[in-house]
Amino acid sequence: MGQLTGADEETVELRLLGDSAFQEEFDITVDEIAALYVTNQFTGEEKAQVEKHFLESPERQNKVKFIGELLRNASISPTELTEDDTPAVVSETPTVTQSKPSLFERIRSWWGSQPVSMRAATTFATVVVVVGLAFLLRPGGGEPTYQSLELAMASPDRSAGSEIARVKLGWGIDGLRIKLKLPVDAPPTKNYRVRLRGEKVSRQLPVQQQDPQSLTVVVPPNDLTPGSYAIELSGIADNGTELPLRGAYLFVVE
Amino acid sequence: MTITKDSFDALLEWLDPDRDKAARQYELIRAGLIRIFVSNGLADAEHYADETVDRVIKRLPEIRANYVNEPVRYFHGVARNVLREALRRREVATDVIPERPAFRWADNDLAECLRKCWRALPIEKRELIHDYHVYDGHQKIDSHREMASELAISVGALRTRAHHVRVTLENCVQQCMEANRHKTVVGNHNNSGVRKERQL
Repeated sequence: MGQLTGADEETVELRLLGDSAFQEEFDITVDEIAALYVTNQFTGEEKAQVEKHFLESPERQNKVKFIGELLRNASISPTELTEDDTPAVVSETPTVTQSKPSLFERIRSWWGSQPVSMRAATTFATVVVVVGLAFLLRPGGGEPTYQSLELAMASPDRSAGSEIARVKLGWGIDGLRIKLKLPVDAPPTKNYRVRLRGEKVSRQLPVQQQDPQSLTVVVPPNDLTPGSYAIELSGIADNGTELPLRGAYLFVVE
Repeated sequence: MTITKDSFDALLEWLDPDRDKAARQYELIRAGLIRIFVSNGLADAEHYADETVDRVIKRLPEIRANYVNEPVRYFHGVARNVLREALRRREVATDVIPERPAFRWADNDLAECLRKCWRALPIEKRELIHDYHVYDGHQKIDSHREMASELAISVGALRTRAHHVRVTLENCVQQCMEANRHKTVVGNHNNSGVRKERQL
């Protein structure tokens, strides 16, 4: 940022030429400065210095654009995909799409060739398959389909009467949308931290919706293998202090 | 100056008698030179890094016998000269056209490329980046501490891990942007009478 003395600058530059760990640390710092800039954490003189020195080269300008776009993507739930789910392949060669019979057409063709007895015997299975495929291949805007669950907080001593909710996930859903009813003694904070804990998973869940009585989160199906789960809640005070709520939201996936 | 295989081999031998170590050191120096030139605001930092290496190679036969310091210091001295000259050229209006014009990313292309690269990333890496960046300020610090604890690594190691994912994404985006730029150039250079192949 134009603030180093000549000797300090030389020290930094020599380390950049000879120390791979320092190069990595340097790169991380560049990313962090870019992130602070795009989230408007710099103001006044500091911001002017960043714009004058840090953003002078086209590479740094591209870096800031990249970090800004990355933060925008990262703020969306990692399992929400705006288009199809197939991994992208970055390639210069053109992709030629050939029309193949759809799975529906292949099933219909197969069905027509089977003897009547076989058709009768497999009717139920085929209906299940077709319904499942229709669900997966549904046309239109690609709106995600969620299964819903509403939970109240269980007290720490799991007092009598507090049954644990059980849920069986439907096939092909995009996630389990859970409405967490806030307890009456919940801290009056604007923000909450929600954490899902299970045998094989422990992760924060972004809050999708919030009102004075409840929070709504969505858990991707990949995180919900059969087993027991607990969702823990903490209020985040204005000064950043975390205020854990006593108790947890419990449920079992069958 | 044309760099010959022999002159480049001489450079590697000067860096280290072990050729593999010398090659790694050369790559490290070149990567460091690029960072220095980018930090000093120069466009096309790779060009200036190569210019620095070329000058060192050219002077090596003269200095090798008597130069006693670390090679890195010599590279640094030459880089400083290259930088000074480049900055002076920038201040004085000239007709000299840069080796390669600076490529600034267009916002639409960047968004499209990053979406593609993001979707190609394994879910756990997307989650890492999401969880790493989802908070600001104090919440971010606390969140990182918690993430590191859950992964049984230090906060520093978590920071490095997130950085590696960003680097993977950035490299993917760079390839995508270059591919898009190449398609645009090819498209623009097609003559009439030849069916334009706009590759998507």
